Amino acid sequence: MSTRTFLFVSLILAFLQGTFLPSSFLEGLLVLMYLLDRKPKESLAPLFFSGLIFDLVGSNLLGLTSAVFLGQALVVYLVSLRFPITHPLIFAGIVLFEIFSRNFLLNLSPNTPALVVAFLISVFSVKFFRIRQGLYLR
Amino acid sequence: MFKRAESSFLPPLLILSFLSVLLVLASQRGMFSPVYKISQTVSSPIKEKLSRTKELLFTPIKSVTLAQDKMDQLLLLEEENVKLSSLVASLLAVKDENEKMRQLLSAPLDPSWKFSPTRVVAENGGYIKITGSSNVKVGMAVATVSSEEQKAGVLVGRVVEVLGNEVKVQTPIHKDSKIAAVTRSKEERGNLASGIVEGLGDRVVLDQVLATEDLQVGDLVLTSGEGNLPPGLLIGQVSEILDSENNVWKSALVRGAASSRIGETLFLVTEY
Repeated sequence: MSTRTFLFVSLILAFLQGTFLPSSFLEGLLVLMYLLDRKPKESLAPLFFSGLIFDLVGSNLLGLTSAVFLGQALVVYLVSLRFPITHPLIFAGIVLFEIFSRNFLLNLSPNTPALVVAFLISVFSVKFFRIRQGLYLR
Repeated sequence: MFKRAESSFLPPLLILSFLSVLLVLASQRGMFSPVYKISQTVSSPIKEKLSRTKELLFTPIKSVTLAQDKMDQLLLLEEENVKLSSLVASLLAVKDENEKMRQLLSAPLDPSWKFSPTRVVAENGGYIKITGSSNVKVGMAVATVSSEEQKAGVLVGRVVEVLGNEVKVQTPIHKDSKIAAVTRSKEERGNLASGIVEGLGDRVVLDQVLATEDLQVGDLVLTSGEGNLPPGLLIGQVSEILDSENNVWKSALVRGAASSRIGETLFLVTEY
């Protein structure tokens, strides 16, 4: 995923989440997909700006989502040193971690259906990611 | 892919994290108010339209299955309907605002109270977001009028954050919401019991009511006037008395009186 695509999808999600979708839902998955496609250092600035987009559009405290995304990058980095990040449960666990963190920092009431759906989408999307990765390797 | 440790990864991460924290602190102090105002001139109308679309899509009537030959006709009619709706929306908003203001003035509230009209932009996670003006302050109460015949002033929530032109309002159902309350029967005027209305995320509970006090299903639950909230605003109605583990306190489930829809007119209580 190119940085431009990532920021564009962030903008679309920022508008959809909180209006059409739950406030904290698919952004963790988007960030994780982006992180898996590039080197850690390269991804930090786009993550920061993507967080600012979410905060500006969602009228949240500026910098709060950036901090969550950077935290997620750190978690992904640390986990990937020891475990296979594309394992469906680890992958979905990191997405849920991001949702919990953002819910906590934005002080939102937990939305159980959103968590379940996000978990399932993450598990399915990592399957697709692995298939795509396999195609690249061939 | 994250395959190997990179020594150059942590310094920029720390710098950007520090910058994020600085931004949070600065926006908490309102330093980015102009930035929010500019972004909200673009984002608020879009968000309102998206919220309305969501409401439209999830209306039960949408789920009714229709015969295929009627579908095209329905789509044309819907298109026409949307156009007409957008034409009359502004007129309806003004009418709604006037009607609500009139009801609020006829409600049994202190005539010295002052209100400022506002509209719901979004609703999520125990919060609603409303349009704001320069005189909005954290802690202010947001009220509406009950649809029932008694035309009581109803508490929608309390302002917890003001960011640019958007105001975040914590509703009584939010898990952090605690409101000092009194109960009153529908027939009599005197207070029967006092307690704390607490939000649990998915329901509202009236707690810490002395066991000796009278608490019945159907009693009205109103703000007591403590905690910077105006007194006498309806929070809801006792729907179930809960079993108590001790003999000192009793508690009850409260059915909330306020229901805020996207685009609905609410009122900020600016003076009381």
